[in-house]
Amino acid sequence: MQKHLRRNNSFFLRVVVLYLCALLAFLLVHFAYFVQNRLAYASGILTQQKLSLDDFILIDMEMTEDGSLVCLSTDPQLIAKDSSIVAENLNFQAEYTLPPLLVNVFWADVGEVHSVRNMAYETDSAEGLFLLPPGGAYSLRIDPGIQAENIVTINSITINTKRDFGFFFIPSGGELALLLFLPSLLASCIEAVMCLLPKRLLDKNTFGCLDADKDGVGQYHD
Amino acid sequence: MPIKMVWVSTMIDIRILISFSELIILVLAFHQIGVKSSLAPLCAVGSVVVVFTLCGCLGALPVAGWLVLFASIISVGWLVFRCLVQKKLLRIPQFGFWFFTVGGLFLIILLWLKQPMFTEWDEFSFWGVGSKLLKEYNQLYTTAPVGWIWTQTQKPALLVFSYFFQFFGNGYAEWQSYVAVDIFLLATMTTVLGSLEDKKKIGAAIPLAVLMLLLPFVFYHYQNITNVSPAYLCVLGDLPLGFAFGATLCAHYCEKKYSAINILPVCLGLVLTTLTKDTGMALALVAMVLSFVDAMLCAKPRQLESVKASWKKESLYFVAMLTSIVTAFGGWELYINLTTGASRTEAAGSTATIGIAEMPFVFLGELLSSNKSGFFIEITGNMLRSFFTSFGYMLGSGVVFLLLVWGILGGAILIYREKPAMRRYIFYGIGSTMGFICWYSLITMSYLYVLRPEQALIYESYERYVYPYYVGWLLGALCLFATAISASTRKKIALGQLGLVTLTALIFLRISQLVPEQYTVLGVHPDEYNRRQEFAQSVQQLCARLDPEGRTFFVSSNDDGLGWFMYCYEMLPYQLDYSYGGGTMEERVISSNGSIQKIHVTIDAWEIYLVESGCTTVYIDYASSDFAAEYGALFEDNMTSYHNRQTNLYEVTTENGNVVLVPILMIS
Repeated sequence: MQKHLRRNNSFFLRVVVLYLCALLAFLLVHFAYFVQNRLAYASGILTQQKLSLDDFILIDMEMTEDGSLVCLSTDPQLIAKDSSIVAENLNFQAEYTLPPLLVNVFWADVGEVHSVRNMAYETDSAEGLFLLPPGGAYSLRIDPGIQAENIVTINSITINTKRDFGFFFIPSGGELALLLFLPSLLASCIEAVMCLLPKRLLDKNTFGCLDADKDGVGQYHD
Repeated sequence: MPIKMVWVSTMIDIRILISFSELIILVLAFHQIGVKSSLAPLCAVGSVVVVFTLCGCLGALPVAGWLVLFASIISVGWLVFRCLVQKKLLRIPQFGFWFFTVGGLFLIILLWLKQPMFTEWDEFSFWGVGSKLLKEYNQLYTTAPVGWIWTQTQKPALLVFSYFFQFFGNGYAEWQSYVAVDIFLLATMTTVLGSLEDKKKIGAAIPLAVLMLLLPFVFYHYQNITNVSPAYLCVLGDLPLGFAFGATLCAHYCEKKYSAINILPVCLGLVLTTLTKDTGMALALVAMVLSFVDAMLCAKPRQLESVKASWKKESLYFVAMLTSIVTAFGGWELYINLTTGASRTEAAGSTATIGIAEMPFVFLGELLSSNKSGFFIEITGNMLRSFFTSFGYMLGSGVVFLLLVWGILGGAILIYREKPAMRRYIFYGIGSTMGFICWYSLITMSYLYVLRPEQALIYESYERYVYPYYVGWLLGALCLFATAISASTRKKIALGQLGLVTLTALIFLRISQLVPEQYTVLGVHPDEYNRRQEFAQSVQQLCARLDPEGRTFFVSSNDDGLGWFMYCYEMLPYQLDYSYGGGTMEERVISSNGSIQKIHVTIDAWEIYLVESGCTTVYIDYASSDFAAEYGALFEDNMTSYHNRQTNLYEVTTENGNVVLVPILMIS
């Protein structure tokens, strides 16, 4: 005997199921990132490395006698000499005489220029940590602040520090947008496709077309 | 990107939930008296704005806050009474209500986490500073003490709505102004879903709702997207104006009968549109004409006897709409004249000698004459061209919106072909296009007669002035498409639904192509506001050294005005003097032939000004060497303390009738 659910209820159920599927998909994808990350460490593709100031070209910055750097403009940059570093994160620890206001790390694939599309902000949970897209070899650029005359004393620049498990499950802005909108749009799409089926198939499928009984002439005035 | 958790321990974060709850209760109350679920948020927002504006005009702005609280308590009581005592079944709120409530809560939590701050010029010159003035002084910005007259000629709707959200508790919070504007947007977006409610077409409501939520991105992206996208992060009134216009159209097109309850959302929408921005009245008039023509010509065919009766109904409708617009606009103009006597053209710093009412005639006169000025030809020619070729919008140039509207109307015709409905769609298409021509001419007239020639020749803010019409235009078309869906047959509904899903998906893809995720409201990083935080802190430190009753003169050579606006905003309630606009020491004088001349201020003139304006301190943000050379003599130490970076602040003292500026050294 066929369960006789009200069609609206079944639509809502489908929407909830799709949201759960989306959440599951998100968790699975990020778990895969985690697994890929650990495998990369295990196989030696990713290794934690300390970088020194010699590995960088200074732009709008000058070295002083005691080893610290002075910013000459509001756009100081440190560009890694090696334009193809395999890194999935960068840890930049430094001290400043003025608050830097905005510290960013840029990455670029071979042959590309650094742009705001490929720019990382400091993560909130770990100070100085910047996340990069996994699986790539990049030309890295560090912008240590936007204050001219700032004196930066770099304590350490480390790439590929091992991140904790929990770190892998924070959604980005785009992922959040997809999680919010995609399942309901999909439900609407599926429902529309179902409604295009011929009538005899409609009664058989349980997905439910909300307008299954509206085959006749449309009613403008009720 | 991780969301920064900002734990704030003050009451001012909870107050916004109180105000939002009041709003939701009002929505429910409107719904119970017969307004559609999707139109009730518009009514709630509209009535809140009306109450606050009225009380503000009467000089009793805080009273409005208590009135609305009182009204919501009464509403709760009435709803409970109706349900439990009278045992009447309450109307169940439809998905429009849930979209508004859940969406609103989501936005509140999101903005609370992100804590955005003002970054744009116009946020400091009016939209942001205005809402801060309301909260700091508990009166309308027209009477609140501030150094610049220009703010007194704009419209109050968004500002009083922001005040409503911050009514309880002391202290102004910028992010809560964003909440107010975003909830305003949400209330107007909900109206599009109105015609789907009767038949509970949730399948079609979903893509429509998502499309609405994406629209702000479509219109805001005319700026270079190397900064945080203003979508949901902007308090300027242009987008809300467009949405209010669209909501008014939707409020009309959702309905087929014109009872008192059904025209209430339309009238409130018209009032909102008129009170959101000065160009709103033009949009409101367009909405009124379109609604009236639609009601007259496209309504259900009637028997001859009831035609007379129906004319009466439609005439009453027209009168109600016209009254709403005239009361809103006229009432506000009356209030402005009574309190300040300032006219719009004078204060906007324009060279206009023509009043707004005369503008269309002058324009038509020049258009039809054979002796057009070079300026006229250039401006009108470029405006015409720009409609087709200026790719300032995410979807292209202005003509794309015209094609989109006609495409959606064509889709509506495909889906539902009954005569009365088709008449509606076609009349909307033609009428709204004619309305657009009028609107575009109005903007052209602004460039010709209101703005300064140097602003006009660069078509300053062209996209921003024009797009409110595009927003409303699209909303109206989508609402009609929704009416087609709700009336149609199964297969056509499905096609319509798929069409909506496709349109939404395409726009989503286009947005993701252009806007990096960390520049959207969902992904923006708090570090982006560090600059503003830093500036706010330094101004706090400055104000700690000022007399609360004092007045500060602002010196910032080469500033284009933004510095002045930012300091003025941040210093409130401490007063910053107009200081000749802050950038140059030049006074603007209206000469005998009506043109504005800039006269250089001599050291003696400045001395007189400092005394007459009652300035107690002079703050130097930056003084050029020219400034030091010319005005240094007025300073006791000839500005050496400033040049040695010992202080930026000088006290205005008088010695033997002469002004001497004494340095206020910082106590380290």
